[in-house]
Amino acid sequence: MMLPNLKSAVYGLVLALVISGCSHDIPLNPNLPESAGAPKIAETVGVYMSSDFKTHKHSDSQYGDTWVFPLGAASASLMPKAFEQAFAKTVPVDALPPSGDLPGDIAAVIEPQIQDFSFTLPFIKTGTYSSVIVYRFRMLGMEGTPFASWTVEGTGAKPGEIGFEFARWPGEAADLAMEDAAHKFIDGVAMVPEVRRWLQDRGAKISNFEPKEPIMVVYK
Amino acid sequence: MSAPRLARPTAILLVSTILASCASYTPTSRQVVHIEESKWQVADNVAAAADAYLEAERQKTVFDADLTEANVIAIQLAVENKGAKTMLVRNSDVQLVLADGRSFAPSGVHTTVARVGESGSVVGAGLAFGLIGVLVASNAESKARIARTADYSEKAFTDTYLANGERGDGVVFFIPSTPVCKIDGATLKVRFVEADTAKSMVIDVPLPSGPYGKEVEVTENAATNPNSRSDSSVPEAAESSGSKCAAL
Repeated sequence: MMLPNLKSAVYGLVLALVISGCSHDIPLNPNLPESAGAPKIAETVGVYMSSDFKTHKHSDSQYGDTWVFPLGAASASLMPKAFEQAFAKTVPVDALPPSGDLPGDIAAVIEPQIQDFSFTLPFIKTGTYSSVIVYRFRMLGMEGTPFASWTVEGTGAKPGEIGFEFARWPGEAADLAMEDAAHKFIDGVAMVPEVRRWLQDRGAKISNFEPKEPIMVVYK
Repeated sequence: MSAPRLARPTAILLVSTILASCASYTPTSRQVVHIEESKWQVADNVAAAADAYLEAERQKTVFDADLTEANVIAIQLAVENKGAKTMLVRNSDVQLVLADGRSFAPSGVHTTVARVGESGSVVGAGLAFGLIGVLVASNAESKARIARTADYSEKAFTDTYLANGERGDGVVFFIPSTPVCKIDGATLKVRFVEADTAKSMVIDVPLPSGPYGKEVEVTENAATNPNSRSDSSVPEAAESSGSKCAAL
């Protein structure tokens, strides 16, 4: 006679767990292979990452669970690598211009921001996990005036696997999205009109704009 | 097979059928907006026109959602380059400016989709139909969200390079941080950037007048949207008014 009661209790517990949900801290580890080519822009640039950026976390509920992505920490490790591939030399800086504490050899400062993030989870774990991240990049001249501001969107998708890991696959999809954005930044930074004008003002020779050219290498 | 054995699969099928219809999204055909030539704003060698999706019926037709209820403003933007130099128009350079001075930057498609959400309630389905209800409703909701994201992305205005004579168009989404019940006198500021020189110009495109939603009283300060970005919002207005906009 106890069996039906036990089944009901177990069923109720499972249902309660499903509905009440858990919180998952997503491990993130985006990476960017070293580039074999020369940097796109032959300039020395300061890299400023605000504390808001470095500590940014995205939290959202799906399937009754809460998923926490520490995007700031992951991006703070990834973006400097992207900047190193885009510019001839990068220098971490703790303040935005016109701060007097900035090194004298930098031509501008770049600041990344996380503007948007979204992810989807599959119904079955072997389905596809996906993520989208939007970064905004600002570049400021040494007098403190922003001269360029643009956004880059990265997407990532990854099929999951059967198992007890809940956080791994959303994390790997987010890693791919961040890496995709980093690649797009590297490929596209020299095509941003305001960056091109800044380079021209600094004496760079720039070819005529051709939108269909995927990469434009700029040398002084 | 005995009657009790048949009853369970039948019940599961029934629950699945009911819940599958709770959250669904079918992409609609692209609604091409032919904005009258007289409404195009022309400056130098560029032109822009805009049309806002104010009416619930049009919102439902194109976006399968009540955007007003979700506090989303969708604006169809069309741009044209009439000059010889290639121009760039970026989604993130568009700005909605209301008559009262508030201004808003565009929201991304994924943020918009998250805001609009799906109609199915996973928790409600769980309470009503148990574990099977949760699983089926979750699946339906996930599929609907993916389909909605793909469709909104297709319709969205994306960064566009325009060569001589080329036109581009798409929808720009805004999620105001304070309620917007009418957009009379609002303008869309559209920035064109010369691809070669970065010389830019901004065109102010007036939006069509009309009520966007009706003002309804709320008992708590639920009208503000902490997730939205605003360049010069006036949060005090929403907090003191105790109101929000709902569909007409």
